[in-house]
Parts: sequence; C-alpha cells; structure tokens
Amino acid sequence: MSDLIEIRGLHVRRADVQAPIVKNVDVSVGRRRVLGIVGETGAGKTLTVRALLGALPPGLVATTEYAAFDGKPLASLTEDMARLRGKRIGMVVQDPVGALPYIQSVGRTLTTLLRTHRPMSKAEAHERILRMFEEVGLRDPAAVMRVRPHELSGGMAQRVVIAAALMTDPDLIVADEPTTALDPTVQAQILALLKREIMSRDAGAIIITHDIGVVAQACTDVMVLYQGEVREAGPVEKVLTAPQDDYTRTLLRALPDPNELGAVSEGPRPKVVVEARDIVKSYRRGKDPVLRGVRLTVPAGQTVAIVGESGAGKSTLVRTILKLIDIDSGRIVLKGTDITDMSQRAFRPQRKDVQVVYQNPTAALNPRLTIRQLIEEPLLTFPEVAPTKAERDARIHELIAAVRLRLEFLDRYPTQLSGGQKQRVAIARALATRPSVVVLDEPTASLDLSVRRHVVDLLAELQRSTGVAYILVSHDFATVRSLAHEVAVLYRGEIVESGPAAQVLRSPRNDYTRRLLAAELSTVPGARGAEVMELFAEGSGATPKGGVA
Amino acid sequence: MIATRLALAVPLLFAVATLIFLLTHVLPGDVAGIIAGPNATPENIEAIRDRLGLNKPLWEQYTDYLAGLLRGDLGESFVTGRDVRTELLDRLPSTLLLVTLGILAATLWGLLLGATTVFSRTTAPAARALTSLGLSMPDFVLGVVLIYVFYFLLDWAPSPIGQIDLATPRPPDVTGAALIDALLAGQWSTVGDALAHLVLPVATMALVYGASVGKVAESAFLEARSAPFMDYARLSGLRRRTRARYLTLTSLPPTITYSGVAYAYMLGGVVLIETVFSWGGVAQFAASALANRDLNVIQGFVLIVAVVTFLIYLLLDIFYIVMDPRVRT
Amino acid sequence: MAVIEAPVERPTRRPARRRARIEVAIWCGALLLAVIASFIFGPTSKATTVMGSPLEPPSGEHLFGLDSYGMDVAARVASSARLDIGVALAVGVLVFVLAYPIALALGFWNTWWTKAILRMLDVFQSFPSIVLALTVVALTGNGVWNLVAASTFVFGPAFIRTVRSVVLSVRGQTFVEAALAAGVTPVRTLVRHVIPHTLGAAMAQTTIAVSRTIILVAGMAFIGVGVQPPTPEWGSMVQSGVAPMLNGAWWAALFPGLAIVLTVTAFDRIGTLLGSLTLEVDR
Repeated sequence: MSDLIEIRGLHVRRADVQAPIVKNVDVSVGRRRVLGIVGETGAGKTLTVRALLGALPPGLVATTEYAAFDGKPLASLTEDMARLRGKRIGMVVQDPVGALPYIQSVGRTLTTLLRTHRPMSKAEAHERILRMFEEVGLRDPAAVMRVRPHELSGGMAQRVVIAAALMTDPDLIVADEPTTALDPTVQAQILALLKREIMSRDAGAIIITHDIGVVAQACTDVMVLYQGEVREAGPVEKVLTAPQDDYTRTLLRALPDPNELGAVSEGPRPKVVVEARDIVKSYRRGKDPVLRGVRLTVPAGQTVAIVGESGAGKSTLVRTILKLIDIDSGRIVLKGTDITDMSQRAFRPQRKDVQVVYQNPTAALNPRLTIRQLIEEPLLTFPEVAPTKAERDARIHELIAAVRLRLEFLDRYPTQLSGGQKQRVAIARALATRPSVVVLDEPTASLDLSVRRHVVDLLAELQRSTGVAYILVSHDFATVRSLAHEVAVLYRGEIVESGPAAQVLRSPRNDYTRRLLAAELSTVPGARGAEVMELFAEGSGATPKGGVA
Repeated sequence: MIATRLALAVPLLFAVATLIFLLTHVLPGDVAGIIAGPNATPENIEAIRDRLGLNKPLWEQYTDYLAGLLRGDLGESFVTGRDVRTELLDRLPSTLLLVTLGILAATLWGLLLGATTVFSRTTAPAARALTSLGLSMPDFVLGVVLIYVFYFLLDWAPSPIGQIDLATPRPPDVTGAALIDALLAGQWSTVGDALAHLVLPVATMALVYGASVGKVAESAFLEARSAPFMDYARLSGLRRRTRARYLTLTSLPPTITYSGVAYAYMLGGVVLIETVFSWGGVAQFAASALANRDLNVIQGFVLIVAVVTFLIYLLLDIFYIVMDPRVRT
Repeated sequence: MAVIEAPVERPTRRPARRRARIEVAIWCGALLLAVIASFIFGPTSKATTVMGSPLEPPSGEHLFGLDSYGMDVAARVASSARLDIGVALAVGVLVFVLAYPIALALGFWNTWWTKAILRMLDVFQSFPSIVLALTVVALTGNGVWNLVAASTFVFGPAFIRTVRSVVLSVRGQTFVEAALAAGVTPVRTLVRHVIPHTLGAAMAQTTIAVSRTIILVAGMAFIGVGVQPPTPEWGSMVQSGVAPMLNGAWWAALFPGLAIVLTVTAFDRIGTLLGSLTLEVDR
C-alpha cells in the first residue's frame, strides 16, 4: 500500500523571518487511512495543511526535505500541488455556505468545477453531480442544483461541498474542521458519510480538527500538534488509549468523562430564585413562535442547564428572562417579584441580582478598559454593594483572587490576556454585586479544550462558596455534566424533557434527548462509536421531524 | 424595496417642492432688493416685488406655486423673460450628455485605479497617489489646469467655449446637445468637433470623481478577494479565468451603486464644470440664475434635479436587486 | 496540573503609528503657519489695493505677480487663507458639536423619533446637496456665517450617516450589551463604552467635512455665489484668472488653485492619518 502523500521535514516560516512557525512535521497518509491532525488554536494545523497543499497565504514560505504524492516525488509544493488540487485532491472546508459563490446557483458552481478537472459535456456533468448528490444523502438533488448557496442549511451545504470534493474521484480528501460549524446531530452524520466514502473509494484523507471526539470517530491515525511541532503521532487506538507525550495526556485529560453525573442536590429543596411561566415569544406577530409556552424554575444555589441545538431558542429564552427582549405572554418572577411588566427603568436596579457571563470573553470585555475598571464597573453602577473606594478596592481584590488570577492582572488590558483568563475576568465581574443568579451563556464554547475544565471547575467552586444560582445555556454536554443539577432540553421552542441531571443525562425518556446525547461523540474509539455510526449510517439520519439536515 | 420607493415618490417630490418654495420665499434676504441692485429706488424695488407676486400673502403664493407646478408651469425667468420650463428643458440634454459620459469615464477610471491598487504590487503606489490627488483636487481647478496645459500650451484641445467651435456648422436642433444632434443629422465633421470638445470636461470629471469611485472599487475588490469562496476556488483548483469572473461579479455591484450615487451628486457638481467650459447646459444656466437671484429658474432647476435624482435611485435599487441575489430573500 | 493557554496577542506596529503621529503634527504645523502667514503677508489692506498695472508677471517685488485688477496675487492668496480655513474650521466645529451627538443618538437608540429623523435625513441625502447649499447662500446673502451654516447643512447629513453606522456596529458589540444587561444606565453606557470607540471615526469625518467645505466655498465663489470680489477668495481668484490664463498669464489662476489643492490635501491627509491611528486602538 504505497503512501498517497508523504511529506518529511516540513518547515513553514514567514518570508522575512528565520524562526519557523511550523517545525519539522512529517505527514504520511495511505489509502483507506484517515489522518486526524489535532491541536488547539494556534498550533499550526491549518498552516501545515496549506503548506502541504501548496496554498500558503502570501508572505509565508514552506520547505520540505522530501515530498511525494502517490509515490512520485514532487519538485515544488506550490506548483505541483496546484495541478493536483481539485483533480486528485478534494477539499472540504469549515464554512460550506461561504465556499460557494453567492452569485450563481450551486449547480453551476459544481458543473464548472467538475468540467475544469474532468472534461465532459454539460449534460454529463449535470448527471454526474445529481448522482453524487444522491450519494451524499441530499433528498432533492434537482432542487439543490438550482438554488443559491445562502438558501441551504449548514448540513446540506456541507453535503454539497463533500459531493464537490468527491465528484472528481480524488485520491486524497483534505477536510479542514468539516463539522465544527454544524449542529451535533448533523456532525455525526457528516463524519459517518465522509468515512464511508473514503473507505469505499480506496482514498485517503486528512482531517484537521480541534475536537478529539472527531478524531476518535472518523480517523485511523492521529497527529497531535502543539506550537508548530508534532508532539505525538500514531494509530488512533494507541495514541488515545496510551498517550506517550505529556501534552497529549493533558489534552485527553481535559476531555469530559461521559460517566460523570452532574451535580446532585441534597437536602430540602431550596427557595426558587427565578421562575419563568408559559413564556411565549414570536418575532412576527403570531407567526413562527420562537418560544412556545416554556416553563423554568431555578432554585437558589443550583444550576439549571438549558440544552438544545442552535435555533432551538435557548438564547431567546435567556434573554427574555433577562428582560432584554419582550415576551408575548407568560410571567417572569425574580425572587418572588413579578418583573414581567416592569419598565426598563424600573427594572434596572434589580439587575444587580441577575448578571451574565457571555460566550465570547474577548467580545464581552471593552478592550479599552483595564481589568480593574472592568470589574469595578458593576460596583460603581450599584454603589450599595461597596460604598467607599476602599471597600470597592477590597471587593475587587477579593474577586480577582476568587477567580485565581494574580493581582498584577488588574492593571492589564484584555488584549494581554488569554481566552481562559478573560473568561475568568468576566466571571469575576459577574459576581461583583453578589447576584442571586448568573446566566452562563455558552461559557466554554469559545475556549480551548484544555482551558474549559479549569473554568468549569472554577464555576462549580464559586457556586459552592457563594450560593449563586446558575442558568447555564450550553450545547456542550461536558460542561453541563460538570455543573448542572437540573437539565431542560429545548427543541424548537418547547421543553421536551426536564428533570434532575442524573436522570436526563443517564436515562433520557425523550427520543430527541437520546439523539442529542448520542451525537455527542464519545472519545473511546470504536466501541460507542459503532452505535453512533449505526444511528446515522445511511447518511439519511433523521431529525426528530424526519427531515434531512 | 422598490415598491417603497415608488410609494414615496409623490410625497417626496411634494416635500422637495415645498422645501424649495420655503427656501426661496422664507429665507431672510430681500430678493427684490438684490435683483434691483444697489442703485435702486424704493419704487423700483416695490415694482419688482409686485411683479414677483411677493406682496401676496405667503399661503396664496404657495398655492399659486403648487397650482403652477401641477400644470407644468414653472414660471418665467426674471433675466430672460422666457418660460422657465422651456429654458431648462432645452438645455437639459446637454448636461445629461456631459454627466453621463463623465460618470462612465469616472467609473472606468475608478475601476482601473481600484484594481491596480489591489492587484498590482508594482503600480499600486502610483494608483494610490493618483487617487489621493483626485480626491483633494477641486474639479474646477483641475479643469482650468487641463485647459492651460492642453489648450494653451500644447494646442491639442479645442478652445473651451462650449460644445462646438463657433465656426463649426451647427446641426439642426433636436435635443440641444451638439453631439447628439450632429449624430442624428449625420454631420460627421461636427460630430468630430463635438467629441473633441468633450474630451477635457469628461477627463476632468473622470479624474476627480473617478478617485472616489476608485476608493469604493478598492474596498470592493479587497473584500471580494478575501471572500471564503475565493479561497475555496483556489483550493479546489479552479482556473484563473473562473476566479477572475467571480471576483468581478462580486466587486461590481457596490462599485456601480456608488457610481449611481455619484451620478446623482454630479448633477449638482456639474455646475462648476459647465461654467469652466462654457458648456451651455442647464447647470450653467442655473449657476448664472443663482448669481442673479433668478428665483423661478432656481426653483425649476432644483425640481428637475430632484426628479432626475429620484429616477436614478430607483434604477439603482433595481440594479442592485438584480445583481445581488442575497438581497432578494 | 499544567494549564495550557493559547498564545497571547501583543499590540504591534508601533513605528508606523509614531510616523503617523509625526506626519499629523507636520500637517497641522503647516496649516498653522499658513494662517500666521495669512496675517503677515496678506493683510486686507494689501490684498485689496491696486499695486501696479494689471497682469504683471511674477517678480521679486510681487512673488506671484499681479492679477487682472493689478492687485498682488500673493497677498490675496495669503489673505484668503484665513477666510477659507476659518470657514472650514468653523464648519468642522459645528459638525462635530452638532452632528456627532445626533449620530450617537440615532445609532444608539431605536425609537419612533430616531426612525423619523432617519427618514428625513434619507430624503435630505438623496438630493445633490451642493445645489441646496448654492441655493441657500444665493438667497440669504453672501455673509460668512451663511456660508458656514450652508456648508454645515451640506456635510452634516453625510457625517451623521457614516458615524451612525459606526455607532451601530459598536452598539452591536457584546460588551455594550453586557454593560446594559449588567444594569449600567444607557447614558453611561453611551459615554463610557460607545463614544471612545467612535471618536476616531467622528474625527476623521470631521476633517473630511472641513476639507470638502474648502472646495465648496471656493467652488461657490468661482460661480459668483458666496464670497464676492474684491474680497480675496481662492475660488473667485481662479475664476477671474481664467481669461488671462487663456492668453498666457497663468499666475493669476494657478497660485490660488494651488493653494486650494494644498490646503485640501493637508486636511485630507490629517483625516486619513487620524482614521488609521484610531483604528489600531480599536482592535
């Protein structure tokens, strides 16, 4: 089995600098092998692959000791690879809708692409693409041919891109974060589709990802990158079950434990801090309700997690509770007071009790203010918490220590902090006024895997020490498992299941919940994976209403 | 979007007409006094006020005005005494000819500037410098400079006193615009002369207005170039020609839209160019009317400009909907 | 257990920023010198007295020559500097003080009255404002303050439109929503979070209004509206210099024209540099 692609000693550096960004990387992929290149942001995954494809952005230079495709040595990556791209190497990208030019129909784009690499008549190309669409699981291929890219859903568009990659019968598929932008249920389907096609065509593949779950499910080999260097490489079973390198171990340790149960509440049921009753909200009078009669109760000192896919209405629900948007009907009660009809002005003082931590800490912190100023702001907004300057300073110090950041961070600016550090600042800021409840809106989604664990542990600890309640919105079950006492599953504006975390996560009663959980890819390669693969095997994995994503 | 614009047409024009009326009748400044001149006697001024109908109550003047508008009567010029509508419409084609050619030239030049700045590493600095220059240069100054260099010094351009030389045989008057009339009549020598006279004014407009088109084109090209589908096109091995096609089709709409906006703007700006080159179009006529406080002409000119502007924006809306399918959904 | 964090970003490109600041200082200095020179070399008396026979070419005594009335071109060019720059700066101040708050309000709040004002601005904008300005000045008289007012009305709407869109995008940023959700009053949010991020755009747009005003005023004088002779004004000097130029006497039209171009370039350059300087910090 001759290697499809073999690169030895790849270095990538900026043209004007000697120090390499990517050092000494070896890549080798054979037929029916799927190589997963995994690493965190900035590790150099994309650069490595782009260098390999001869498609580096201007200003960067790549050198190799040896490079060969399908056994034949290559003289120049840039030129030789350019001839192979599209024809013998198919690409799958992270943003499939963006990849297709909006100025023309999907059919036209693909036909041009196909005929560029395989001369044939328009009619033949048309036929071939239609058949390809069927193969990748698109329900109405003719319709898809006619539409424009922005009319496709993420999952459909990715199937189109996969079809485009496969239709020229390539030997190698390169996929850059192919499922990152997709919903969990769709993710599983797409990965299953990719793997099936690769194997059945005797092709090879490289998948770039930051998600080890993807590697566990779809890859045969894995390469762990950190700061431009290969830390470990080898077959997936070996590396994931018995890692040799420290960094690899840390990455794996940061993964969620599927057996973890979530938080358990003992003792008498505490008072209810927030209650939402029969919330109905639609953006256009009466049509397309986003929330259809949602009920939620949040006990003091506990975490209620709202899970569901994007578009289910999680963010909308939370924003209605925060009174950032109005509701059509229903009631919202905060600590016994009905706040539904309060004006913004009247409600403002109550905001002291309800704070928010946002998904993207970089966006949530004003880059022009120092950390001290950022944490101080809520104290200035609600002076009753710490009336004098001395008390404010003391509280700020208390908070920065509670989130385990050193004092010197106070005088820095957000741009000088890492993602995890910024999120801690956001947490400190949210807790400044001693709120009764903090809304956590996807608090770990933007963070690197290795950092998530620490932030989640911090949140749990803070809940224990301050007695604050959390409303956790998340599609990441690992976070949910670590924090939630109760879980509510939101699907298309309705809560389809809710109850104690242990029950919902371990033995879900609702079919949709089961699918959601199954889609969360297990890190144990093989075993659980087979279940998942079966569930979504034919590429016609259904959403609860029976459509194809 | 188009429906909204059409629906707003009548109220809009009504608002503009009212605004002009207010401007000309309510602003401080004794119009009659200005028209009469520094040596006028009170009787002269009074007589002028009567003639202008300024002694009637404001409301009556307003209704007279609106009634006249609905009839299509724009009044008479105080300076020439002739019907304003005739005067303006006679000269309008000449101006439209100039502005249209000017915008076309400006768009082409702007696209060239923008494309060079973005795609050619070697000539980009020159393009950038030309763009800056064009942006800082007032059109009338450039016109004067061009006349000096190309007419006086080099004797390449014809004398800047109108659309054709005095000596050139005039074509029969159909539109009033020399080039068009000559083409219609088949008078080829006149056509040549008319074209020669167009060179400098159109070049002036191209260099000045083209600079701002260039800036818009530059940002359109930049944005198009870094679009994800361009990257995907490169990665999936599409031919250079296909990629160029994607690039053009996505950069053109914003640029052309801007040209449309510039067209509307130029209807006002052409006043200066027409004055420099003695073009004899409606803008030059309005300019002298402004200097002479010829109220009815001013009113009529503003109204015509408003109507033409409205039509341009309408066409632009249609154009954009056709070009960018994302807007349709 | 080691915590692995992603690499941290550091602000870059300091030398370019320093160069930009120096360049801004140079241009401001040049403009200041121009105004000072205006008083020294172009006192009104000197600029409006006939000094010799018409259209004398540039000489040691009259650096830019004499115009068609026999007046000293250099003195007139210098004298006009304080008029044009003065009017332009006045417009700049007015636009910043009046239009900036309007742009902030229109971008930050979305109530019926903001929508109404926007509609009105829309109407206003879809109309060649030059024509409007010309009309206003022609009808109200040629005083300096009329020029200032008319120019403000011409360039104000464009300022509001551009700055408003910046305000809108800042308003949509998470940290602004975070402040409001955390209970910060809208006004305080506007001041503390929105204004700092929009100041750069506002300043850049102000300098654009300033430089466009110079062109507008000169252009109006060129066709005889606004500043009237014998008051020296670059635009009217160009106009009266055209006929002599067609016969070879280039100095009467060229020098004032050059003055316009240089002054506009100065303000444009300052505006561009200010724009790029403040853009960096917003990252």
